Amino acid sequence: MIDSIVSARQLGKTIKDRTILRDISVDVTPGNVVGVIGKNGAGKTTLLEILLGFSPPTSGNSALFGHDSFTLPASVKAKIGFVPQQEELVNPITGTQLLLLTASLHRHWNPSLTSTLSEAWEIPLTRPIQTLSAGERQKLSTLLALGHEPELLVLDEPAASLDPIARRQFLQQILEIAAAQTRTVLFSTHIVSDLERVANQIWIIRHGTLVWQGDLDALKESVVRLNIHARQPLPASLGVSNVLSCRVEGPHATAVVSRWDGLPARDLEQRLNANVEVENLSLEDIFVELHS
Amino acid sequence: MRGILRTALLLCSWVPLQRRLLAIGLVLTAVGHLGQSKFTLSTLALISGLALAVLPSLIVGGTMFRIISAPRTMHLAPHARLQMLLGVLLGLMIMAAFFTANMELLRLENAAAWPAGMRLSRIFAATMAVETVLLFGMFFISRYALAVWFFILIAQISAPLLARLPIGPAVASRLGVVNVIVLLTAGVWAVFAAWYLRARRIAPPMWADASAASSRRPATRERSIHSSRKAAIAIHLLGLPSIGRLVWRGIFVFVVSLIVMLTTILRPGAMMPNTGASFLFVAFCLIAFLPIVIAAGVAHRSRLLWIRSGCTRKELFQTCERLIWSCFATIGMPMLLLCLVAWVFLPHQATDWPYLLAMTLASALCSLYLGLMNVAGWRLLDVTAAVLIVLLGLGVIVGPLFANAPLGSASIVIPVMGSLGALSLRAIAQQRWRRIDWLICKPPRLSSQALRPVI
Repeated sequence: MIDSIVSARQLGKTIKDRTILRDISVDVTPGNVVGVIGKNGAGKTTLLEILLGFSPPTSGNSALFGHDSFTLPASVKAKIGFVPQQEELVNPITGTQLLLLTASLHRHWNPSLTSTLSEAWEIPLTRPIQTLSAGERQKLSTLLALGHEPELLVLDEPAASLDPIARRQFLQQILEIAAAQTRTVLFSTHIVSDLERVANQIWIIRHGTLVWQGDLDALKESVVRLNIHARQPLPASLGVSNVLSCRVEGPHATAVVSRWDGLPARDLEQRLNANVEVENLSLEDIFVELHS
Repeated sequence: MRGILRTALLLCSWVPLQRRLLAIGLVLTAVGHLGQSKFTLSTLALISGLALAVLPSLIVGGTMFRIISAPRTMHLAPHARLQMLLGVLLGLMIMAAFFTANMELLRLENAAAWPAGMRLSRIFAATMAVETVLLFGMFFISRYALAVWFFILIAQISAPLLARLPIGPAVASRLGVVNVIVLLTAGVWAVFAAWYLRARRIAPPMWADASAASSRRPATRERSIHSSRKAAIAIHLLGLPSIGRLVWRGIFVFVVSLIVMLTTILRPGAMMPNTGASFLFVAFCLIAFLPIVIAAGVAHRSRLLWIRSGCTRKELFQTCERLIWSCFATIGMPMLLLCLVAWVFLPHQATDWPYLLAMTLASALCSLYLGLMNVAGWRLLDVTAAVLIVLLGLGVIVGPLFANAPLGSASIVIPVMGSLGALSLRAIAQQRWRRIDWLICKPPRLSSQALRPVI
């Protein structure tokens, strides 16, 4: 019995003296939908590709289904579906032909699933791939990753080229597919609303470091904004721990605090002789604060 | 003005490999000058250094010129194309001036090595003409790959015909050779500028254009795809709808070459003493250096199969190697057949067919494994191996083909050493593939930096 489908310990990656990832340790258990979020160049793609064995880590190790990522056996790869950030399609052929070819690389293939999804996603499979739009290519790329019904689906910014309506529908269907067969989904994005809609776990990467991993709800509860109002001018330092950002203007102050457990609010009110309002933040606000 | 200078600078320093070759070339040039009075090979070092300093910039420069001209945002910048065109012209003039200045230095250092009657103005004009042909040639070849073959064939056909035109010598004697060269070069620039400044869109190089891909004609018939595992792997690695498409390309080149050769053979008056040697030289170079292009492409596309095929890194290396071999055989064997025909029917001075064949195949092997081992960027080892293969490959083919120098035991030793070199490169390639990093080794695309407008 494998507890973690994906696991990494002290993972680090350096390319040409540039540290891209440092000291990343993660675990993903079956059935979870994990969203990896970070700014452009934060290291999301590098992390996903190291986990999938495309690239050797400079330090630490990672494993998929209990096997070292760098030397994955064919039996494990058959359980993985991967949609790269830059689609890697064979341009001069049609979508149908590419589906046929990809099917021939797998022992198991579900043609009815690909047929249903291609209709739902309105992919013109009979047209040469080079004539498809960026969104259609991205959908086709996802279709290729789903045909063999993988247990682990890794999507690197899967909806970046889609319009908001198509993106919502597309992500919803991926979620349904994952939920129907308790698949595990690991996807990266920098569109916070996508992540909020489908993920139940979240990894936040900043400058190659994992600054948060865990439940989305837990993240929302643990990062709050304190609105402090007093009658007298407030001190420059409020004496609150885990402050992400703080602004003091006379008797008013706002501070964004992580790892908030609710208890210090009363203490703060007494110490500053002020009224303290605790405001929960949206994921987008949390993301901005974590990167400020 | 800034755009002109930046383009001129980019022409000489676009890619790291080019910068390294430029550095090696400058060192060799300096060694060549310093050693003029000390050792006999110094002139060779000087010429090699100048070639390494200038040629890569011309070959890469044509592609670079197309890349920086391609972004549509260039339409928005005022006089962007004019600035780039002038920048490229300035870059070429600097390189020609550098070459001419070195020739003048050579004349001062070693008058014996200097051809009698050679004037600096003639060197400058000739260098500019050659640079222009190479740069514009690469500009078009980077988009239309098969054009290289047509360029060479057209040159092959037209050279003897042009030489027979009565107008040529008359004009040259009246205007002077230098003036004729300058006029021709200026004419080429004027025609190119007229087209370039008005063209609605300059397409990016073929390898960087996802919409054009590697083949413009799609395989629309469902039945044309063989959906076996082996075919799927080959199609993924080659980026072509079928291996048959590659065979057709080989046949196409073969047929066109054969037609040109037959027309040359059937018109004995059009032949020059070295027509056969020129043809064999081009064909041998194609056979010797084509594998590096195929191998590098296949190696970079191997990433697509890491998850999909289930193969290990070692198995993928073996699969790629087998595929490149079969591609090489598909294209190379008809070319060798053509060489044999040319050897028998076209005039040349060479006598050692087995040596030339062995050396061409050894060079092909070396370039095949150089392409396969180039999975981690152009490191010092890769650059050195590439320079050695090109210089030695060209040297050992050109010498016996044109000069017919007696080789003696070297005719056995050199091909054997070439084959041993290929085996060494294979071992390095295998070693690198054990740790291949597909974050670095990806199918080529234009990076955002490359697409950044220079203006």
